[in-house]
Amino acid sequence: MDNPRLKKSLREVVDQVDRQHEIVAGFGSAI
Amino acid sequence: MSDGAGPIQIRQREWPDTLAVSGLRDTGWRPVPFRQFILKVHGKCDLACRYCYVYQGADATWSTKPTVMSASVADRACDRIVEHAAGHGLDAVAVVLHGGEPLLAPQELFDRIAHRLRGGLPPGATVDLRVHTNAVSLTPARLDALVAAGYRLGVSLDGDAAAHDRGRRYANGAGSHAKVDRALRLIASRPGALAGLLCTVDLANDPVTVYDALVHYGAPAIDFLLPHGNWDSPPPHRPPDDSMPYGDWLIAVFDRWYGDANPVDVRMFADIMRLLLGGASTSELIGLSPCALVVVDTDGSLEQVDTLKSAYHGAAATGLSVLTDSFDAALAVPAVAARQIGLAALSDVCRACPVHQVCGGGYYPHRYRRGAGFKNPSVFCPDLRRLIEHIESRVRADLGGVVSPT
Repeated sequence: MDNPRLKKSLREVVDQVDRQHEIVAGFGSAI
Repeated sequence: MSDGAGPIQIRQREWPDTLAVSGLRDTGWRPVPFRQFILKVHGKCDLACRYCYVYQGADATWSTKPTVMSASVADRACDRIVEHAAGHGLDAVAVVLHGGEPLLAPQELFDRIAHRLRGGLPPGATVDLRVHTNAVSLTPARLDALVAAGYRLGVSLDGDAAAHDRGRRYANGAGSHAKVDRALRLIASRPGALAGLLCTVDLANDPVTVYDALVHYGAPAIDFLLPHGNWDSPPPHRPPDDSMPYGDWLIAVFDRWYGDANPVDVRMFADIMRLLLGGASTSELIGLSPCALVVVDTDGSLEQVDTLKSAYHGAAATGLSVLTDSFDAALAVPAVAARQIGLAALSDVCRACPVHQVCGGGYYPHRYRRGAGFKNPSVFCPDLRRLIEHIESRVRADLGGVVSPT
C-alpha cells in the first residue's frame, strides 16, 4: 500500500466519484 | 476510381453502419457533447514514418484535401467549437492542433485560432490548447510564439536514438532523433511547455530502455500507442493466436514505471489501475468511457479519429463539415454514437470476458474485421488481457490487508 502510483490512483478514483462529472475519453494520440 | 487513391473496394454495410441512433434515443440514451477538438491544420508531414497510418495505411483521403487549413475554415471551426461549448454549457474544452505535421502551418494560424477561441467562449469557460508535433522543425522563435499564444506541446518520441530512428525517419531514410532531442531540450527550457510524449510501441526496441529514454526529458505524461492494425491487416508480429508479445513488452514497462519514483503519468497504466479500482478511463485507448473527441480536417470536414484510417478507405469520414454542419450533427452519426454507448458496442465474446470492463474491448480501430465491422475483440486482445491481469496482480498484492477481495 506504500506504492505512490497506487496511492495516486486511489485518490484519483475518489476524486472521480466526488466530482460526479461524467468522465469522458480524450484523444489517444495527443497528451 | 477514387481520387487518385486507386480503386475503391465495395464494402458491405457492417456495424456500426447499422446502428440506429434514433432507436438509442428512444431508450433514453443521450450523446455526450464533444470536449476535445482535433484541428488538422496541415495535411502533410516532413517525416515518412514506417508505421504511419495516415500516409502508409488503407486510406488515402489526405491526398485529396487542402495542404493547409485556411483562415476561413479555422474561423468556422472555432465558431463551431464556441457554439458547441455554449450550447452544452461546457466550462472547458481542449483543442489540439494536429496534422500531418502542424508546425508546417504558419504561426499566424495558431495565433488566430487561440485568439478566436478565447474571444468567443462564454465567460468562465477555458480552452486547453495543445499542439502535437514531431518537433523536427521547431525553432526557438517558433517555440516562443507557441508559448506566448498559450499552447503546450506533445511530442512524438519512440525512445533512444536507435529505437526512435527505427521507425521515425525522413523520406530519404535518415533518422529524426537528433532533431527531436534538440527540440525537447529546447522545450525543457520553457517550464510547463511540454505536455507529454507519445511513443509508438515497436517490439524490436527494448521496453525498459525506451521508458528510461522517455523519462529523461522530464515530460509530465507519456502515452504508449500500439501500432495500428486490425483483424484483416494485423499489426507487426501480432499473429492471430494466443501469443502476447505486446502484453509482455508493456508489462516490462509497467513494472519499471510502477516501481519508479518519477512522477510521470503513463495514461494507459494509470487508466487500467483506475478501472481496476472502480474508476473510469480518461483516454480512448482503453475502457468504456464515452469518446468525446472529434476531428476537423484541413478542408473543414468533420471526421472521427484518423487512426480509423488504418481500417479502410474513408473509415473516419462522417460526411459533415464545419462549413455546413454543427458538431451536434456529428453526435448523431452512427459511427460517432458507437463510441459513446459503452457495453452496447462490445461483441458477445468481449462481454463474456472477465476483464471487459477494464479493456472496454480495446482501442476501437483495432477491432475492425471486414464484414463484421467494429463489433469484435481487439486484435491485441491476448496482449491486453495479459497486461490487465498482470497489473491487477500487482495492485491486489499491494492492497493486501487493506481491501478484502470481492
